[in-house]
Amino acid sequence: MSAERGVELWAPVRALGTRQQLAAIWMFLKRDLLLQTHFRVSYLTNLMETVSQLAIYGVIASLGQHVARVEQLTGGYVNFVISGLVLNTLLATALAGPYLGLMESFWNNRIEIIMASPLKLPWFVTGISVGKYVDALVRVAILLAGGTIFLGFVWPPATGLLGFLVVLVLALAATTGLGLAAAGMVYTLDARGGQDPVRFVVETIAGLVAGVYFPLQVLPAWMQWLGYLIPHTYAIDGMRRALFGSSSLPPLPLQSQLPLPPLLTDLIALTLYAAIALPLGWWTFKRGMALARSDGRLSRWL
Amino acid sequence: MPTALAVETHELTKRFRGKPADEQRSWADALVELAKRALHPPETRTVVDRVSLSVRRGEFFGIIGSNGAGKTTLLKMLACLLYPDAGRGTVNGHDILRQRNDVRRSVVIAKAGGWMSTLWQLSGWENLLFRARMCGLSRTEALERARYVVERLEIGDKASEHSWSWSAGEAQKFSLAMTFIARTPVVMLDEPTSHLDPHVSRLVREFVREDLNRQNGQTVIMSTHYLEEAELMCDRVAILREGVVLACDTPAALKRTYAPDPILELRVRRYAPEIGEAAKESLGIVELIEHFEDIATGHARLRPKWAGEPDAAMLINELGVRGVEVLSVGSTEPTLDDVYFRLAKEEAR
Repeated sequence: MSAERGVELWAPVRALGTRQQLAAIWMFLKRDLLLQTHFRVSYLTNLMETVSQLAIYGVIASLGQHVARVEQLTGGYVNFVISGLVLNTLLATALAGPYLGLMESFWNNRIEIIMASPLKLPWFVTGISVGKYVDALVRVAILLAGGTIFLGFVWPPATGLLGFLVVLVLALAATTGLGLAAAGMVYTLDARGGQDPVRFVVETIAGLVAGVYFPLQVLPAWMQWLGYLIPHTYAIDGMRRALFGSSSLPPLPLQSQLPLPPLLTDLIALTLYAAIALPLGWWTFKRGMALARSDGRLSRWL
Repeated sequence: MPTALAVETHELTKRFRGKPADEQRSWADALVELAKRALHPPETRTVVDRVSLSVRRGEFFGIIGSNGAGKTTLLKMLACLLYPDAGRGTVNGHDILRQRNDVRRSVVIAKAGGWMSTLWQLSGWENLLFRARMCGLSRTEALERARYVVERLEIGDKASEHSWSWSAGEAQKFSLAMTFIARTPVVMLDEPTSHLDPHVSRLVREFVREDLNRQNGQTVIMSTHYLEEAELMCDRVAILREGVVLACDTPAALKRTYAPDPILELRVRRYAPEIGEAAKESLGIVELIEHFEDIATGHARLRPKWAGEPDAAMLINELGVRGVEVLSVGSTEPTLDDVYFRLAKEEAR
């Protein structure tokens, strides 16, 4: 190596432009795919969880044929539950992705080597979450393919696609805000025991009152109002209304109190939720990371 | 415009509050603990205490000290992995408090035990390329540098294998290779040879000294508790104890100041540490540094230090009584070991 080469090295490592940041994200994605598929049989058995979910709701759907109220929903219970499961899979990823990615980096002792690089924090959080979305898309594909082939899922008309995409983007933005807050809790609370308060609350409510598995309207009124605390409720209702039309879905209590079309109510609620949750979640995440670097808890070992 | 100093700190200080929490604790337990902490704030301990240092560009700078001296904490603050509580510092002219992203482009850090940070599901190449892309290198650059570093560290034959098949030394070399793949003006090495055998240690030392420091002109800051290594490699060293810099100069100047006199050295046979302890007590020796050449036969070199006037004859007699054969008596030049022990002893007083 020449002396000139030594001089050239005094220039700092170049700032990462959008192209370099995207290349780094691609490396994260590639890395996550390699990690996920390293034990191939194990990965396939993990996917069986989604297959068994499909089977369970297939059986329930066949029972629901005898219940007229269920049968009316979005052209049948299969359409109702599969659409709910698909969106819930994506929202669950937005909620848990940053937390799980951060924890993997922590337990694998990779967090410092990444945080010592010039990669900026938004790209870092994108990088650690991106692989989770690939896994979610595989599960969505299983739900849709299995639902269509074995359970008679009827694909909705393309006319509702735009509305669905708007709902999806707003719902992902809102839930990502919650997911960032959840990841921020890792260092804010200094707790890495596998769960955090944000996900605990949201997942508990989402499982019961978001309307994934059954219509919200079958629950007592106070429980229905509980569902309004999380974006999942508006997202799942809005998605079904956009794709399958509103006629077969009874309005939510909130929708019946506002002089607006139900889908518009969902969109407004999701927009407000995203406008509040996303900056708040980002602030919490940033604060957690700063706290970790202040208290010396960023990595497993000092 | 680059400044003349690669690294500068002024009264840099780091304090930690309380003990680290159980890493497996749940959020509910953490909330209870937070409430307890609010009522009874934990004690604060100062890990790095008002450290002021200047490292020139192209210098090979050592930070020496025992475990818990604050070496890693100091390096982490300079790499922006840890935020200081007081004081200020610059790396490559960039403020570690206000220009963190510029600092991260200027420095790489290899931590002690860094071999644990390679992802075992990925091959050596994949680990290296992942790191290179994090630093903004193009694929071509990344491959070129990865090949160079791998070849230089003699791990080419292992680069296609996954890390679980590597020995600890090979894994440490891959971890170092990941650090060296990005050519930053400043390289920080935290006990880089702590898990390596003598051959690999020498290889790493040569690579850092020759390739990075001399040929590339990169400033190297290395923490170590191997004082011989520091003496061999560093242009200047700072001696750190309990977060405080006791002294900072070239190894030669430190020896001139703190250990100017030749030191008595005895080569002995059939020696054991218990004999030394007994001799120390009976003869008023304050320190007896032992370097074993062969533990089985008790071959060792002894460097005694007396509180008052040295009395070699009494020591030889005492050792003889206890069955130790003295092979030779001579004097030797002091080392950084002697400087460190003297400074540590003065500080303890």
